[in-house]
Amino acid sequence: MINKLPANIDEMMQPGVLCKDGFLGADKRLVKDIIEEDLATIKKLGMSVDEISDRMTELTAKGSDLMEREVSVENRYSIKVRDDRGPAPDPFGGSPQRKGDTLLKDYKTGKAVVWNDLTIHMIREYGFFGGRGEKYRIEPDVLINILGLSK
Amino acid sequence: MYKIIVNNGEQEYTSEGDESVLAALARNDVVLPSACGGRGRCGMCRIRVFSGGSAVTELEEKKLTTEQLENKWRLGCQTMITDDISIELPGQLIGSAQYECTVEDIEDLTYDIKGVRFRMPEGKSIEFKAGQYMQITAPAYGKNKKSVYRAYSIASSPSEKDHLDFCIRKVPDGMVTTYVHEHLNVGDKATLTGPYGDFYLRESNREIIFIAGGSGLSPVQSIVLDMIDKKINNRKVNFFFGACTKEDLYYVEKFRALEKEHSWLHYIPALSNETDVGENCEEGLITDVVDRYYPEFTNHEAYLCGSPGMIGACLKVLTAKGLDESLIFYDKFS
Repeated sequence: MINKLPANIDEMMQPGVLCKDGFLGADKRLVKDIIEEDLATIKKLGMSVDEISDRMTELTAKGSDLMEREVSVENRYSIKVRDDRGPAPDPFGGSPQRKGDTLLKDYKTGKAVVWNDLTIHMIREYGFFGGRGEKYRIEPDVLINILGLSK
Repeated sequence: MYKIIVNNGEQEYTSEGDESVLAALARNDVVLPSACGGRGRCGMCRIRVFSGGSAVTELEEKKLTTEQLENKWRLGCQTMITDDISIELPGQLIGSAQYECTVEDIEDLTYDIKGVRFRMPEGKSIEFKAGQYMQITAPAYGKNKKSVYRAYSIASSPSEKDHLDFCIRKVPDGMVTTYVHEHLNVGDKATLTGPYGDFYLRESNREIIFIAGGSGLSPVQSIVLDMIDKKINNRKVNFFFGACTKEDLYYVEKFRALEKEHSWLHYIPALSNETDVGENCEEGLITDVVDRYYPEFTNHEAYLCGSPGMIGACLKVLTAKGLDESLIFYDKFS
């Protein structure tokens, strides 16, 4: 986890800077406050960002290299991994990530969620799950439940 | 006024300073690749700086390795012009130019791919190699405060010098593809820069395997049309096009008609997520279909165009059956 956020991180997260809709949704909080609150939730649930991002990576891998064919895995999920060309820049200044959404339907909870490699990277490296209302944000407690990680 | 000396004086531009090399070059129609609009986030606008310019920034230290920095690599967007500067650019960027084209036609090829036809400016023509790409610029629109550009393969033949065709798939949250799909209209002007890229047909007598998926059909179509125009009919061509469902297929009739007219061309569409694929269509992942077609590779070369995942999977299949990597050509756009 980085100790110091880039000075212009809140600006980098705005719509139209690095991607069309930005990373904050309707959330008016500062990025550092979003991160702090989500990390506190995770800690309360006895989880770490590594456990969460590792599991997301594991599930994405099960749907990758199938050229967007939908697959059923673990008798619980249906996964389809989109594969788009070009890099997705990291607003925190880290390595650009591969473009392409992972669409996951969880038959156990009845929920459908979407993430991509940049979402996973930002959770792992910075504890950033997105601002509320942002397309890729999944509330940490909901995500932990969908990923089957609840303790 | 400062000098920007390019490739040992091959080109020279001027700048009043207080701008990045990326911006100064763009003013002179030399557009470095970029996916972050010059914010030091994507690391794509790499150039070599031999003398002059501002000091290396923290962002560059993150994006470039120590070895790259020692070898004079910099990011064009982070290198500010503070004095005369001597830089090196890839040769292909020098030959590129910027064109104000007009949108002549837009058609829905699938639910998420549009075919867009641009007309070149009056009195201008374009020279490119079949398989190359252009950068299309989306101006500031909606919440996007700055213009941005992305790379798209040309789908038309180089013989058509007054038009350029593209097949553009909508990317979720994509800044340029959303512009093309939701805001661009027939009659609009659009800035195109290029051509770029080294994905083109190599001269040889080998049989050709084209494998494409999604909008990756574009450069393959350009190469096939170019072969027809140039009467290159001594090389057998198998074109494998992979899609998930029937709704993802496009230009099927066009390629069926081409293979009827040209016996050297064989078009093989494949569907990976359909229970009933119908006649003249293969079932399964495109890599499995290619695997079934060829017991071994003896005198072949392969050209791949599609998503990074598709290219990675194809590389595994082709090399496992003995096709040397030097005979496999692709442009990952990543």
